[in-house]
Amino acid sequence: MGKRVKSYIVFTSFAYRIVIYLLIPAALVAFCAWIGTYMGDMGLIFTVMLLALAEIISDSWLFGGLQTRDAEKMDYLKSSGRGLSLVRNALGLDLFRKFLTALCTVAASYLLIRQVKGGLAGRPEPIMDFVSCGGPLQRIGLLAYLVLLAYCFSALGTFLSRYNSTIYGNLLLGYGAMALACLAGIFGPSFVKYPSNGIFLLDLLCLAVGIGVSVLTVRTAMKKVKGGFYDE
Amino acid sequence: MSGSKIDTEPKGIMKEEHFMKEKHSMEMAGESVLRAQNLRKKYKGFELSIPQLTLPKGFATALIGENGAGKTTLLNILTGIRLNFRGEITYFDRPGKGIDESVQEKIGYTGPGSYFLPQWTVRQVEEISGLLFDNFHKDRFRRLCGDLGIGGEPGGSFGSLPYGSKEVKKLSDGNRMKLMLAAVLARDTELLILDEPASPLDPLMRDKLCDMIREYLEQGNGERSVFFSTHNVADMENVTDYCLIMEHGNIVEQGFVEELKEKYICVKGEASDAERAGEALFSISRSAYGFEGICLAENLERLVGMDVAFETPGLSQICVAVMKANTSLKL
Repeated sequence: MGKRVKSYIVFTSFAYRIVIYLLIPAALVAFCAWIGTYMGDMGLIFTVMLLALAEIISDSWLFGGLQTRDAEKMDYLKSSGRGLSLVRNALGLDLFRKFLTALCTVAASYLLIRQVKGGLAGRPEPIMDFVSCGGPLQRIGLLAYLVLLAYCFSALGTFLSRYNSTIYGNLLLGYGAMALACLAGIFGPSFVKYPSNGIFLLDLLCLAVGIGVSVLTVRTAMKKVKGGFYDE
Repeated sequence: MSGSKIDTEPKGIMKEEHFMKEKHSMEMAGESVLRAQNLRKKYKGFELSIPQLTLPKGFATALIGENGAGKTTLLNILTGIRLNFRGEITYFDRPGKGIDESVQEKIGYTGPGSYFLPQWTVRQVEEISGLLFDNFHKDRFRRLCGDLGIGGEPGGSFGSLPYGSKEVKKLSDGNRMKLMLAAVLARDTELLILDEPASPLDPLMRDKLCDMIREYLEQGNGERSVFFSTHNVADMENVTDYCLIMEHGNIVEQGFVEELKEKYICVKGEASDAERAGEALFSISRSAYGFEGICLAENLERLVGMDVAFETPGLSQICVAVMKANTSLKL
């Protein structure tokens, strides 16, 4: 496992690690908590939207343009018998890291928003309090939905963004992902009570989509990398 | 002009021991680092077809040919980064077919274009190399980076980049090549396959490259070999032992440099003899003052009676003559 993690870590520069592992999640949590002071749990939807945007844009730093026609051939990696497994590990662990980031960021935002909503703005009640509207189990279901939503849009956007090699393309996809994440984020809470516990069905759906997109992302990228051995 | 043969010193410095090593090797035909049979590859109207290829063990072999001759394709096949070809390749006289991880561990390859990912930093190259190859030495890599002036300042003094922080895409072509060389020379390999290593380098660094190749071979005690493609024949001649000349996907000439210099003779003569001499020469360049050409040694007797001078040609002259004789370009 240690070697697998290392094979992912070596693909990331020191600056990337600082920005992606620390700065972006911290900034998102802080920003969304601030939004939460005015808009309550709506801040969580901002977390989901902005996280998807940040992940899609930052991927150009890591595997940008990997699936394009004129993608980098990575001859150095191919000159080693371990090159392909190194890339596969890196692609897989990058997705796992995206999931962890989504989990931690949404959870941290939720905990923080709970503390500050309404308080800092001096209002007695937050504008939207949709997470708290159900029971404890439903609350967990809704949070899981938001985590999975952030992951799905991050992974799907990343997958699509690798077909272009410009930061502008990533930006465009990022905005699209933000809009869809916003709609899905608002739409999800309505399932908390009607149908009863419908949020868990949404969780399952998002989980299935997340797994599917992850498999697709790794397979497509590996197919492209392997194609480099065959003039494809 | 005198009609006697004039022997000139070959270009570059050919050490006596190097000379002896060549002769010894010629006697010991059969020791090879790599053998290929019936190599074939078709790609967008281009066809590579090499019935037999043998790289002598313990020597530096140059692969020379015009643009599009198939040099990079051949090197990619031999390195294992192109797999769609027909034919058999035997590495290090090792029974079995094809290339695998253990073979790739013994081969150091540098190539043009997209070799490292552009966003990698020098430090990432170091870390990734350590994961890709068991025989990679970080200390040696850092020393080479320092010697070659890439990768920033170790220790990162004020005003300078900290070691390894520079990205590959921000390196010049020459520095990128130096980084590739540092990465392969930091490993314990038995064969270096270098695609156009001299092209992006300045004259000083080309000289250093020759030193590095020579040092690599000497440290191997006959167990290490180098195979490189080049257009800079004159610069690389003093490190070239064996030579392959490619045209249109085929090998049209090959041999040890000293053998080729005995096979081909440089002929110079008066303009009045150019027409007659041209019939016997392999290739010829005419001017108002005379002509200069390359003649096969076996055809020298056809020049009897002409006022010509003979010289030992440089490898570059031989290569140009062979390429001229085989090119499809209208020159």
